[in-house]
Amino acid sequence: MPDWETLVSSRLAHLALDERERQEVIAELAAHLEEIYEAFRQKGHSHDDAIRGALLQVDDWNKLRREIDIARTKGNAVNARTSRLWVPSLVTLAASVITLIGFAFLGLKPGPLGSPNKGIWWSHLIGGITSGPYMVNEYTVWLMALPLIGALGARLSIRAGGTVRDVVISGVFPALAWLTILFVVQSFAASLGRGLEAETAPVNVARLMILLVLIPGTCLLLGVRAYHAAAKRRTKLAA
Amino acid sequence: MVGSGIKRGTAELAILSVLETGELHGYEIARRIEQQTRGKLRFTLASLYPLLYRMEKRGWVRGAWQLSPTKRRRRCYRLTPAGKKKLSPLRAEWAELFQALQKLAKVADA
Repeated sequence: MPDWETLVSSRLAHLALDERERQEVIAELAAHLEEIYEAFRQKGHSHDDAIRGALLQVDDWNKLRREIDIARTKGNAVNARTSRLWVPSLVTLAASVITLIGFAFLGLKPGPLGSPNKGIWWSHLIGGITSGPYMVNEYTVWLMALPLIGALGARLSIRAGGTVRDVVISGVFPALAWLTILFVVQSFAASLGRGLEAETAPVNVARLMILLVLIPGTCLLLGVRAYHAAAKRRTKLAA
Repeated sequence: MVGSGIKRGTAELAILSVLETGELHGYEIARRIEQQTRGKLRFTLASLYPLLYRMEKRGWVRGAWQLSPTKRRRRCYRLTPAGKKKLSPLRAEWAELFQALQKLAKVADA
């Protein structure tokens, strides 16, 4: 007799329910599969055919997991969205800001990407991270930490039963937040008009877009992809 | 193509109807529905449980763990007063819909 509880537990590993409720769901679905398996056996099917027949009950375990999550988390899609997208996104954003500030306090050498004095006024939002002639600086160390932060966002979203879209957005959310900030600041600065021409010059905007959105976004995405691939591999092995 | 709203509505009616006769666990609910509809309605595990859990959240059914005669733990569902109350208007709605469809079919045949 197959261990149905272990099988269901591995396939629904990321149910976003508390432990007691998760165990209940797993036990209930395992009992259902066991009944089907036994019904097949009683009809004279082989052990392997009976297992195959039982497993045909579920085409897509991820879809089932999402539907159970939605049905059991107060039947409210908004709650599910919060736990799958917004909470992981905000955690990722907070982690990226904290590490950025943290590395600035470590007293690392300034970076090779230009002096804040020569830069535009909103580059000071991130202090001197883009300044100086050294390769190991606050900015590059921060970039190295970003894949871990992206992976953290992906992990939280996957655990909550997020779709691939939720997982990716959660992981790269800090870059998206910077993109929004740049647009807002850019529009605000442009509306002020005189005296801010240098700050809103396309070349400066493009520079910050690369430094704060494209490069960090790529680093975060690397972490998301690595974690997502590892999670998929684990699920396959467990199955 | 039958829309998801109609599918869900028929599925809810089917589950409430079989539970009217007494409490049943998930496998037995699916088996009875298939038997009583002569295989016209079939529930897989993947289609049954999200619906059962949703109905439980709405307070139409309540599940509780029980030991079967073979000493196995099974979660059995029974209709709640709210579920019983829901059943008759739901039946009336579906009867009305089928009557309307039959009339349409007769008009089309004539």
